[in-house]
This record gives sequence, C-alpha cells and structure tokens, in this order.
Amino acid sequence: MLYSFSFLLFVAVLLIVYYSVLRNHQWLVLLVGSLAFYLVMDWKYAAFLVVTTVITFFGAIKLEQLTNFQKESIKENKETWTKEEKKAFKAAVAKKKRLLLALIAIVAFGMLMVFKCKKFLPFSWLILPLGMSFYTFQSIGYLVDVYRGEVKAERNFLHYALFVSYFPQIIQGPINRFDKLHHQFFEKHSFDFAQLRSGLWLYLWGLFKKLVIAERLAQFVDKVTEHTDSPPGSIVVIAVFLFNIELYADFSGGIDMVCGISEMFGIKLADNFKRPFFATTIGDYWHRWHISLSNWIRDYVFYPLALSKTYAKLSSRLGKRNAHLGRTIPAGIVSVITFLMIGLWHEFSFAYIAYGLWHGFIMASAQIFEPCFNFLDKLFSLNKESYAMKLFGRARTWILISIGEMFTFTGSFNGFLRLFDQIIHKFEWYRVITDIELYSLTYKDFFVVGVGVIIWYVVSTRQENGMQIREHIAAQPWLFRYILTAGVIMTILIFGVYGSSYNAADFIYGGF
Amino acid sequence: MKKRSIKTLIQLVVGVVLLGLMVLYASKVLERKDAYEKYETFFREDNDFDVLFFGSSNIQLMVNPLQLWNECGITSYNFGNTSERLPVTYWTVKNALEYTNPKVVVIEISQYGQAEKYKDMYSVHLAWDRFPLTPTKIKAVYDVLSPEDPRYELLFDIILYHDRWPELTARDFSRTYSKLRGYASSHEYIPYEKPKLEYRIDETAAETEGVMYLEKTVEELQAKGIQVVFVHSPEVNTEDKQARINAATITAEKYNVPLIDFTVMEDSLVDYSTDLSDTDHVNIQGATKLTHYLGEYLMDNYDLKSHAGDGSYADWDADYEEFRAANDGVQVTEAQPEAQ
Repeated sequence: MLYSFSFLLFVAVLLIVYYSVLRNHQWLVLLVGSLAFYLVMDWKYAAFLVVTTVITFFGAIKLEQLTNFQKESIKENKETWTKEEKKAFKAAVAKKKRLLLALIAIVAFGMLMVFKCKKFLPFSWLILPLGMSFYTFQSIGYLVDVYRGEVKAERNFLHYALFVSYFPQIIQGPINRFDKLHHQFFEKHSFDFAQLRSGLWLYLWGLFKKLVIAERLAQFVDKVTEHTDSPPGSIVVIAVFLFNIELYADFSGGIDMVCGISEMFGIKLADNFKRPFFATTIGDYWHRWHISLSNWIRDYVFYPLALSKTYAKLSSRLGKRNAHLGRTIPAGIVSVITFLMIGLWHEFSFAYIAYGLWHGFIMASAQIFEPCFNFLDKLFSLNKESYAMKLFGRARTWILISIGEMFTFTGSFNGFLRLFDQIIHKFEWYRVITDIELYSLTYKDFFVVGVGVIIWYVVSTRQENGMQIREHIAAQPWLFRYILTAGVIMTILIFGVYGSSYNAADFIYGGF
Repeated sequence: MKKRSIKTLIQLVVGVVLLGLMVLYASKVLERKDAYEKYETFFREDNDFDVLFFGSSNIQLMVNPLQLWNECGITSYNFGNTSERLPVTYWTVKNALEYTNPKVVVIEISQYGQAEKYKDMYSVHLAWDRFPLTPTKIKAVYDVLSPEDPRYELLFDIILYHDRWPELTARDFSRTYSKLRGYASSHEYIPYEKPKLEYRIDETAAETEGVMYLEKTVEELQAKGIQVVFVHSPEVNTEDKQARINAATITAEKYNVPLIDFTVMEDSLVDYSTDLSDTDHVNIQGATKLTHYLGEYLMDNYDLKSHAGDGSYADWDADYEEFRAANDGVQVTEAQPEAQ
C-alpha cells in the first residue's frame, strides 16, 4: 500500500541510494526497485508483466525493422520498381506490420481480458495482477507509436523494462507515454531539496484526500450499498453524490501520491486530472478525468476509427442527405464505441458496459442534438459564458456523471436496479435527517469531510485560475511552510481513516 | 551554496522537531488513558521497588501495594493486567526491569497452560502502552505478535487511538492517574461455595508455549539474583482448570520456586461467601486478607527491609492515607446476578 510503513521505508532507502552511492546508475536503482516492489507485491502474477514486456519489446523492434526494411528496399529499388510495384511492396510490408501489431495486441489484451472477464469464466478466483490494466495499455501504446514511426524502438531490454514496470505508476497509473517518460529515466537527477519537498507536499496532499475524505466516505457508501435492508432512496441519492467525491478523492489522491513519489526521484509522470467537477459538459469532463486513459483511447482508438475508410464512407453517405448528420452520426457511433472501451477497461461486466454506453450516448447526443440546444439557448437568450450557466453546466454534468457512477457503485447491474427502485418507490426524504448516522458515519465525520472538501474546493479554484499551489507555498517564509506541512501531517494522523479499527482498503482504481 | 545548505538543514531540523512535538502531544492526548492511569506511579517512583507482582487481573485485584507499605514498609507495584497470558507477562517483566531492580518478583499462575500467546489486543495494549519505545519493547512486540497482527499500533499507538478525537473529554487533557500502584479494587461480592476438587495434575499443561515463557522468566530473574514466588489466586474453578494450574508445581519444583495456591490451600484465608467479586477475582475484603498474608510471607522469607519513616517514601504514606480515607467504612455489596 502506498502509505504503509514498509513502503515509505522502501522509498526512503531507494531515494538515499538513488542520490548517493548509485547516482551514476540511477535508472538501474529504479529498475531494481521496481522489480523488487513488483515481486514483493505480486510475485505470483509477475509472469504476465514479463510476457507483456518481452512481446512488446521484441515486437517493437521487429516493427521498426520492417519499417526500415521498407524504406531501404524502396530506396534501393527506386530506379527499378514501378509505381505499382512500390505500392504492392508497401502494402505487403504494411500488412505484415499490421498483422504483427494485431498479434501482439491480441496476446497482451487477451491476457488482460482473461482477468477482466473472470466473472464469466470458470476461474473467477483469479486476482487481477498488479497494474495490469495500466502496463498493458502503456506498452501497447508504445508499440503503436513505434508502428506509426512516432518513436524509435528501444533496443535495451532493461531500459524498456523500467518504462513498463516503473514502481510508482504501476499501482494505478497514470498511463504514461514512452516519448514523455522514457528519456527522463536516463537523465542525470541531482539531489534537489526543493524538488524532494515539492514531491512530499504532493504526496501528503494525496494522502489527505485518500485517508481523510475518501476512506471516510467509503464507510458510508459501502454501508449503503451493502445494506441488507434496502436503504431509502434519499440515502441512496446522498450515497451516489458522496461516491462521486469518494471516487475522485481516492483516485486523484492515489495519483497525487504516485506523482509525488516519482517527483522525488526527479521523474514527472503524465497528468491524470484537471479538476473534473468543474467541467460544464461531459466532453469537458473527459478532458479532465483520468486524462491518461481518455487520451490513450483518443489516440489509439478514436482517431484510427474516425480516420477509417468506413467512417468516411458513412459520413459521406449521410452527408448527402444532411450535412450535420453526416458529420455527427459517425462521430457519435465512434464515441459510443470508444466509451464502451473505456467502460470495459474498468471491468468486463454489465455494470461497466452500461457505464460506457451511458457516457457514449451522452457524448453522441450532445453532438447530434447540438442545433436543438443552440436553438434553446437563443430562444431563452442564455449566455453560455455567464457564471450562472457555467454553474448550471457543472451541476448538470455532475448529475449525469452520478447516474453513470450509479451503474457501477454497487459492483453489479442488479445492485443498480435495486437502488434505482428505492429512489423511485421509496425515496423518504426525511430519512436523510433521521437516519444519516445509521450508515457508519457520525455528524462529526460529516463535518470533517465537509471541511476537507471545502479546503479541496478552494485549492482547486485557485488551480483552475492558474495558481501553482506548491510554488506558491514554496515562496512563503520557511516557518509557515513547516507549520503547514506539520499541520497537514497532523491532520492526516488524527483525522485519517487507517489502522486496525478499519478494514484496510486499497485504491479503487488499483483494482481496475 | 554551503551556507544555504546549512540554513536548509537547520530549518529541516526545526521542522522535524516541531512535527515530533506535535505528534508526541497528540499521542498523549489521544491515547486511551487506562494504561497511563495504571502505570504512571511506577514511572514516577524515584526509589527501586522491593517487590513486583505480575500476572493476570487475578493478581491485580488481589494485592494492594499501599497496604503492603502500611503493614510492612516495603514498596511494590502490581502489574497484574486483564487476561494477560504468560508470554506477555515475560515481556512485561523484562520491560519493567529496565526501570527498577526488585528483590522479589511474584507471578500469578492462573494462566498456566494456556495455549495462546495473548488473549486480545486490548490486553496487550493495556500491558505495554505506557512503556516507552525501547529495543525491549520492540522485541516484545515482534516476539508475541504475529506478522498479521497490527504490530505498529503497539509501537506507535497513535495509529490505534487517532480516531478517539470525537470522544475526547476533559479527562484526556487532565493527566490524572491512579495512586494505587497498579491495584484495582472491587466492592462487590457474589456468594460462592468453595469447590471441593480432587487434586490432579494435567501434565500436558506444562508443555505449552506459555510455560516455556514462564520458565524463561524464572531463569532470567534468577540469573539476576531476583527471588521468584508463584501464587495462585482463590478461584471457583472446575477440576480440569485447576488440574491445569496444578501443573505449575512441575515448573515450581524444577526451579525451586515456592508456589502458594490459595485455591487448593486447606485454609484458603478468604471467605468464598463474601470475598469474591466473581469466580476469578477477590474483592477488597479478600484482597486485604491475601495482601496481609503475602506481606508476612515476604517479610519472613526474603531479605526485605522496611522503609517506614524514610522521608524519601513520604508519598507512599500520603497515598496510603488517601486510599484509606476513600475505602474505610465502604461496605461490599452483593452484585446483581446478571453481572455474573
């Protein structure tokens, strides 16, 4: 776990070695540390990591060789080959490359699918290997980049193994890109106290969100979803609302901790969040939530589909009848497919299929019915840029997201139907007042969460306005900085939900 | 550059010290106060204790050190603790001996033959929370608790007690503590008849892990020149349970340690109809009789000298008077049947 004593000790030892005795072999320290971390955490399933690393490493080299072979052959035969021969040769090599890429992707994604589909298979006892969803996507992303010629294939297996297995990111992402991450491992990182401190602050901020907010809310949400006597609809609505906060606090908290640790080593990981609940539309939301996954899906699924011949044909056929529909219907179909993939990335289940389809259909509808929305805006003289409309947009997005989360937060589609039924037939609003303390949390707990969320909101507002919070803190007098740091640590120590009195909880996205 | 590094280092040290003080204060406020209240007088004592008593709650309710002081002039501390098994007792003894050098150690052996190393985390916390974090305490935690147990919570108890913040009261800030030197009294009684048990020894009890710890305790105490006495409190036992405890004679003989068993003793001193608060514990009446007996026994058999009249023990006199004022004339009352 990212905040266990042994993990923190491990990071401390690694940092000391990284910046002292092995400062000239820093990447090696990270590789050994990453492998040791993986073996300790999940040695039983380490073979899957090895297989994915090996096939994508050699696959990328082979793809690059084919690309080079193609270029060289054309160059050599520039004078002798006809245009048709060149085209045929190119097509043959491209076919080989596609076949190889498909084969490796099938093996890597196939392994992942076995675990994602375990509910429907006879080996439901399988546990998803640590980080598999993240390292599979990351390594396939690299493979596609090599296939497209956007990055050069790595020839050193150990260098590549570090890219796939880098220990902070493997727990729950973010899904990094080779061109952004890989070179950082081999740059010289001198010890910089300010950088270490900045990483620590990010780590503590994440820990605050995880332990003070997410873990506390998890008690309430779990109690509501596990309650054998179905809770009233009003409590379910509160739980859905709080689940949104819990999920964001849990996931973004975990990512902050991971990025904070990585920054201590001088390695900057990809951004994964940009204040998603400030989004005014679902489209905007997906530019702010789990950015590394949505970008991956955009680059490796959405664009290839949107640039495909089938898409162009459909667009052209519909465009003859109606230019707007010709543009938006194919885009809508691609949206549904990509969001279905995002749903399935989490888990192969009806709940996540519904989650993906819900987001896909909203995205498609937003595009297809855009003229209707514009007409309404005009009819009622609504200024989209006004604060009230932005607030409305945020609330609407929040509600739409919440409905999507409802599909998944019980863990099953049947659970969703059961709770939805409670909202419709047994709302009982007054029980929010009379029963709220029956679900694990007291008013004092709600107060702590409330204060925590207000602090978080204020920080987010400042960030949204462009403030670099950590730089701002670093510019303050040293005593203020230390009191603030100590205060945050004390807040986590006292108000955090941890220890044997509680069920030890992993990160929600660590399970995907 | 160098000057800047030194400045940063100084700031860091100040920051860490600041944080350390905050954690320390928060730990003190948030900790459950029962261990602090029970053991604080042990750590505040400047002189060495003459006698230490160890074991489960049986001895905690059985021996009153203030009465021993008043009657014999010897100083003692009662480490008897809820459900304490012998492995925990072994480490409690080791921890306690880091702070005092007694002449005699009395161990109550009602837990003799118990298979488990400890009963529950609560009892271990109560036994060890007040001991500062030392290598001995760390060894104790790692020896008695398994890797699956929350070991860190014993070393850094804020991990366990941090969530007491909603229940903090003035008591948590007051730092008041018991002056009874570990003794806990009961003013209730349940009338029993002394069971007539056929004397039998369950020899398998002597092979349990707990007994290995008892043997280690005795060996290490004797190696330090500390005299050891085994006692067994008066209990309303089944024959099987008593047969298990009777096996303590095997260990007693092996190490030449006297064993005083108030349960099997012909004249058990206590009146079963009025002196027991439940099947395992005596009330204040029973404790007064047994403490008196043990005081005489210790003075007769060991090289213990009275400190009566010594000015450096003045707080013992004051605390005894306080105890007497609070308890003299207080009658024991019969406990309600459901309390059983």
